[in-house]
Order: sequence, then structure tokens, then C-alpha cells
Amino acid sequence: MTAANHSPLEQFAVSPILQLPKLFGIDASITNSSLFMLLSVVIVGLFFGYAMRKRAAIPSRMQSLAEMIYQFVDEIVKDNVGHDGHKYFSIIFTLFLFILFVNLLGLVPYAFSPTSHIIVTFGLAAFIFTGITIIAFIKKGPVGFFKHFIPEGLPIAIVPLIFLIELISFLSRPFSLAIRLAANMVAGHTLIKVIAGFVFPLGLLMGALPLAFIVLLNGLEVFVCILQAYVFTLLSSIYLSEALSDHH
Amino acid sequence: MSTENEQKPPSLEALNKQLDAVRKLKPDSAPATKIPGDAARAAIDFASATAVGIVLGYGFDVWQHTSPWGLLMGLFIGFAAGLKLMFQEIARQNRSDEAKTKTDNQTH
Repeated sequence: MTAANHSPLEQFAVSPILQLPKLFGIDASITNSSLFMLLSVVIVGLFFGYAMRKRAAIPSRMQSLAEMIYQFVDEIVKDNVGHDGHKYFSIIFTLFLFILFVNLLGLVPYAFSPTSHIIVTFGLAAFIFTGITIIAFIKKGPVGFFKHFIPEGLPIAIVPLIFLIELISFLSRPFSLAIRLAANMVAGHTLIKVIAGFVFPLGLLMGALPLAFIVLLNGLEVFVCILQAYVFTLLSSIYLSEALSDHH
Repeated sequence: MSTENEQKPPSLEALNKQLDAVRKLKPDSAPATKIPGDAARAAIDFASATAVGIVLGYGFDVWQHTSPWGLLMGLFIGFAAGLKLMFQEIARQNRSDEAKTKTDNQTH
């Protein structure tokens, strides 16, 4: 049985589904990537709308699930950003839900995982980074913002070096956020695809081994998806708290 | 009358004392769980800081025609920044681990 040589990286190809005319020079067609992002937003909206429709004081199971997710993100914001951080809760919550559902939807067979593309994750990370930098600028003023890079009590000789080091570690944040999420998704999906390619050629009996392995891998991937959404959100809250803090 | 005293349930203080006695027997109950992503966070911070340093150094090179010194400086500073971030991340995780094990072992 000859199998065409399918590369395990083919699953990451972005293909247009609905060709739309160019909008201001940018191709606005709906691709599989944008379809799954839209699907994630719709599902999040529908889930929370349906789960909270009764707003019972004693929650049903669905409502309890929705409230637990809310509480989970609320804890992250409260622990890291502090009490005044609650006004930033909406954006952190939206970020968490978007990444979580986009990651989980990508695990469905034949589905596409938009967060496996660096451009998507870097878009999110750059958005958060720019927003937080603007908040820090407004809160501390331009002088205070750059003072933040120079810890107190340093001999004046090494201040320029320390300033450069702090600046670079500050600028590396969006890249680390983006690469972490994209690399985890790509690695997980590619591994599943590669092992899955072993199932059929090994036949009925021996093929059960890679099949069992894929089952376990998918379970691990679900964990990784949730974990990566949590880590992205947690780090965004930590950076936000650093921008909002008045000391140092 | 005397049967009333025997049937009274143990007071909360007595129960707490019993709990404290049992807790003292096991001083190190489960330490804070570590997940596989913890070390990866520090590692990716290090790698991306080095990469940003290299890119910025190279950009400075192209701008000021100082090759290869710009790239080298960027490499060193990015490396230093990456190390700093890595230590920061590990210190933060150690602190939160200690805080978690402390609250787990807290007696009333």
C-alpha cells in the first residue's frame, strides 16, 4: 500500500476557505486560521451565555463550571495584580478564554490550531506588551518609566550597562510569550502527527502500540493547552503588576 | 443529668488540639507540586532574551556600520539579560513554592 509522502507539518498550512476581496490592500478572506479563531469566540460567548442564563444563587452544574473558570482567572488577577487590578480583569479574562478555547479546539481531529502560528501568538503578545507599556508610561510618566530600569543604590559606573540589560530583558517579554505558546502547540501537534503516521503501516496488531501512545499524547496535549493558556495569562498579569507598581 | 455531659460532642478547641497533634507528626506534608512548564518558562525567557539581544546588536551594527562589535555586544548583553531573567523566574517560583508549602502546613 503506497502512501503519499505527507509531511507532519502540512497540518499547519493556512488555506483560505472563503475568498473575500482585498480590504485596504490586506487579503480579508476567511482562512482556516481565522475560522477557528472566530469559532472559539462564538463558542466562548455561547457557553457563558447559556451557562449563566438563569443567574441562580445556587448554581447549576453549567453555571458552576462557568463560575469556576471566572474564579480561576479572578485568583490570578487578584494574586498578581492586586486589589486595584480588578479593572483589568476583563482583558485578562478575555485573553485567557480566547487562548484556552483556541488551543482546545485545535485538538479536535482535522481542526486547525491558530496558536501554532507565531504571527498569531506574537500578535497577542505584542498587543499585551504594548498595552502594558502604555499603561506604565501613563502611570509613571516617561522619566519614571525609565527610572524603573535602574535599581536603587548602584555605583554610577555600571548604571549604563545595567540599564541596557534591563531594557533588553524588558523587550524580550513579548517574544518569550509568543514563542512559548507557539512552540508548545507546534511540538505537540507535530508529535501526534508523526506517531499517528506509524499506526497504519504497522498493521492491526502492532499498530495498537502507537495508537495507545497517541491516546496518551492527546491527553497530555489537553493538559498542555490549558497550562499554556494559564501561563500566558499569568505572565501577562505579572507584567501588568510590574507596570502598575509604584515602587522600584 | 450526668448523661448530658457524656453525650455533649467534643468542643471545637478539643478538636483543634487533636488536629494540631496529628499535624505535628507529619512536618513535611506534600511540597508544592511542580508542573513540567515551570522550568520551560525560565528556559524560554533565557533563550528569547539572548535572541533579542542578538537582533538588537545586529540592528545597531547595520545602523552604525560597527560590525561585528555590535553583534558581539548584543550577544553578551542579551546573554546577561537572559541569565538575569532566568534567575528571577526561578527565584519567583521558589518563593511561591515556599509560600504554598507554608500555607499547607499551617496549624490553626
